[in-house]
Amino acid sequence: PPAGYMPPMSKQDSSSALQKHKSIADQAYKSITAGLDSDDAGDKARALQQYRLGVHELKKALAIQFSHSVDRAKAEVLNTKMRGNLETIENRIEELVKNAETPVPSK
Amino acid sequence: QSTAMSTPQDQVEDLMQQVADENGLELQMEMPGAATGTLNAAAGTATVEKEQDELTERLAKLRNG
Repeated sequence: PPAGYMPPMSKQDSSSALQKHKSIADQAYKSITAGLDSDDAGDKARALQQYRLGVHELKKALAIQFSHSVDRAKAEVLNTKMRGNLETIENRIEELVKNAETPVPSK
Repeated sequence: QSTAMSTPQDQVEDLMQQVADENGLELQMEMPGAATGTLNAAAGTATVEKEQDELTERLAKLRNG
């Protein structure tokens, strides 16, 4: 780097919440991907577990508060995507639970 | 503690952008094989957003299938 170059440090404090936000979103992605893999493979019980973990992580990421409006705006893009996925996964969980309770209609 | 772990995210991103600019690369493009594994330390905004898009796609297929 050129002599006297100082990297901007002002974003340091505000970016830690964003970093946490992304890190938890990444965890949720991994859990839900694992759930989808199990679901595809027919292991519904395992899929349920992994989906539930993913839902928990999505909610945790969505609950993060940002004190800087710039951060909040940045996070909102990801939050919108996560809210959509959260809803779909919750529906899928409901479906799987229903299927597990009534494997074969018995009447 | 490795350097990668202790270097602030902003500086890493600035440096990556600088290298990309110098070499005329498109930084948005995902490096193949770098998808998972090392993400937790420095998950990029574009990457985590793309992950959610991928989930949306897979979940949609699940419903149709």
